[in-house]
Amino acid sequence: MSDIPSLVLVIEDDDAMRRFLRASLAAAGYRVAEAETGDAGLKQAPMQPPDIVLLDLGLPDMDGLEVIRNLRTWSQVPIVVVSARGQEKDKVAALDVGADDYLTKPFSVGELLARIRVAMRHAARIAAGGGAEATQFTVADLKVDLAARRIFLADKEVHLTPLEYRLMGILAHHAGKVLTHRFLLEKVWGPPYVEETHYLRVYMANLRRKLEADPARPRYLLTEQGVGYRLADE
Amino acid sequence: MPEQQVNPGEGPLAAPERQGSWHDYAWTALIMALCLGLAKAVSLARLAEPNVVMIFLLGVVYVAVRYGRGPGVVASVAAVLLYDFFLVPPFHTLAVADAQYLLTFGVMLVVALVISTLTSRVRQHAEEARQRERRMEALYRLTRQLAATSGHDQLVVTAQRELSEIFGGDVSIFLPGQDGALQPGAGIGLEDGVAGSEADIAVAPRALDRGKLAGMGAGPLPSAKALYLPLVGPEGPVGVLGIRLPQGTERLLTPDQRQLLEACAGQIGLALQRTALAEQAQWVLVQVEAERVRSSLLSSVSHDLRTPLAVIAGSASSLLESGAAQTTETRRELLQTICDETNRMAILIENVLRMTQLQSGAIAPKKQWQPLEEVVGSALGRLGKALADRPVATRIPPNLPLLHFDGVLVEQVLLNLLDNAAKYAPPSTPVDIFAFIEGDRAVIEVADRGPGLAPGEEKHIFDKFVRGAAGATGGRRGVGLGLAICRAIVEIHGGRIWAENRPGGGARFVFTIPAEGQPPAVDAEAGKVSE
Repeated sequence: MSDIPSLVLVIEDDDAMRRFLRASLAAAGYRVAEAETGDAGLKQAPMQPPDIVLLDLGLPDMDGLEVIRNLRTWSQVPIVVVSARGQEKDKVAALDVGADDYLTKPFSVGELLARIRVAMRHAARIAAGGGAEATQFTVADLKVDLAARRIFLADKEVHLTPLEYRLMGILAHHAGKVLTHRFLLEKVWGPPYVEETHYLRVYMANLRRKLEADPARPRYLLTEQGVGYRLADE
Repeated sequence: MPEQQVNPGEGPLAAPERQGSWHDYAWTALIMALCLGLAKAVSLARLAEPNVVMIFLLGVVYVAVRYGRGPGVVASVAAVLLYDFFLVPPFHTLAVADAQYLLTFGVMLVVALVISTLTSRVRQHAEEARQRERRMEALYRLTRQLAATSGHDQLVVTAQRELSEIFGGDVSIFLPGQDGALQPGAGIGLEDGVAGSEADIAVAPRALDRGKLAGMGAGPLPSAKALYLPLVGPEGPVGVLGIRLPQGTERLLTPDQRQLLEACAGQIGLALQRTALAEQAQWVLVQVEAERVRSSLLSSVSHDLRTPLAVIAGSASSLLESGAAQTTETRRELLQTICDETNRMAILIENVLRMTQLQSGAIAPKKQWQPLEEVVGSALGRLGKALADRPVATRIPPNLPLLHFDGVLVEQVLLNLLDNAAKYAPPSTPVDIFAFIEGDRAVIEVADRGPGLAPGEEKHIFDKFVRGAAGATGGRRGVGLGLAICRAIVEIHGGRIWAENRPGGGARFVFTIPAEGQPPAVDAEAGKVSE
């Protein structure tokens, strides 16, 4: 990260929520820009390009999904959406149109900052690698060598089937980010399989059996119930 | 009820039999010939003249009783003529020697006619009574069958089956659907019930609109293949009955048959309306119950919301107004309180919302085939700190088949059960999660080493607003919704949930999920996209 603090654009209609976000983000060393409506946010973004966008899905003037779609037409800025619990459908929809992550209300400052860090790290990795799989990914004992297509657990190589590796590679490439069922199914099995969630589940179970000490308490391959999966990156 | 095949034309609806068919008259002729022979014998035996007359009258009575009025009249006339021709001198001519025989003939004819008329009328009444009885029997059986049936669809099926048995034809009942358009009822569709020619489809609604018979030979579109009757309940038409008599007996119904059909239609209409009213009453009952639950929810929730809210507001204003005068320690304590109480409120609100959604049927479980292990993992991951230092042991066999359930909802069940264990079991006591297959269901168990359940508590613990008697540790309290939500979720999955004390101390909460059906196959390395 450069010396200039990163700019967070907060698109949120609730005053109290904005105040809380402003205080917490400023305290953590971010610069904060605010917009009360989706429209204002979309106007502001090109003039003062943010490093990350925090977007409330329940805006008064327009659908949050519309804001994401619009932003994605010209920018790859990471977008973290904020929504209420029990609205898994909305989260999935937001992720599918291009959001990077989500926060479920109510959330703590810790969670907020963690999500922002993950999203920015992910964006930085993509920008640095130019999308090429030339790097390797390491978290705790797990090492994914994306170039050599090999996976190590505590320096011992783990053998995966080609599809398992393909799944693992995509997760590692987007480490820290939630990937929806649909996204993973399409990337690994192809478009005709986007509804066959049990394929994904069975392969995730296999991966956990090979990579996790206790598959019922995963350390790396985390489930976001009703949404998708995330490879832990911390 | 014995299964009986009713042949067309022989059911209770069969027309009065063989009236005036030619062999009735042949039999009449035979009987009169017999009478003649007998009378001749009597006459030859030189018995008194009246005996001869009596024999003929006997024949007339028999014919009238057996074959009805027409043959009776023929027999009466024949009796006089035969008597005159064969037994009154001069024989073999209609002429009479003694004029007083004319009087005998006259009286004899009158008596014979009167007798034949009376007896045939008696016979007709008996026949009618028999017909009526059969109709009543059919109607009674239908009524009884309808009364013994509950549920709209079941009623339609029963009515169709019974009517088809009585009339020996295809029967279909049409009911107005959601949009008011007539649709064939459950059981028999247009295709295999009353054959739906275009004309027929158009006729059925007409019967409903006009409140009158329509179709085959009646009213508008008499060319339709079947007959349609409106089913009318006490509060207006409820549907249409279509009936097509079997091929070959496609004649018009007799008035009797039509009457029976209309009576049947009346009974079915009544039964349909009765069911509709009963279902409506049931719905009202459910609404009342829902309203009751809502109000008790409201009173309980408003109390449990106000308490933490008061604490938060108090702590915050204290910090704001006299923050400078407070020690760092006090400020920290107040802030911690605000945090804790807020979390409590968040959980409470989430539970209340979830319960309301479950209760109003707003949540349709989104069932997918998935490994149980995964949902246990995500629940444990989400709970994180709440379990604190309690060691959690999971024992889930790796070969457990995929189960069909809603991941988000079952995760909620596990979260609530684990949260419960964290609330009631003392710190650093172990929590165990077991899962196994037992017959056609998967059994999932969350067990702790806490104080266990008080006697009798296991029965009510899943009711709303019931809190554990043992008392939560560390002042953590719930609103008593967590387990009620668990039960609601398990039940919409078709499973069962219960609680019991664990041997060796502690409580175990067990729930089941049906493990029926074949999990979809996963082809090894299928759908590989080319590199």
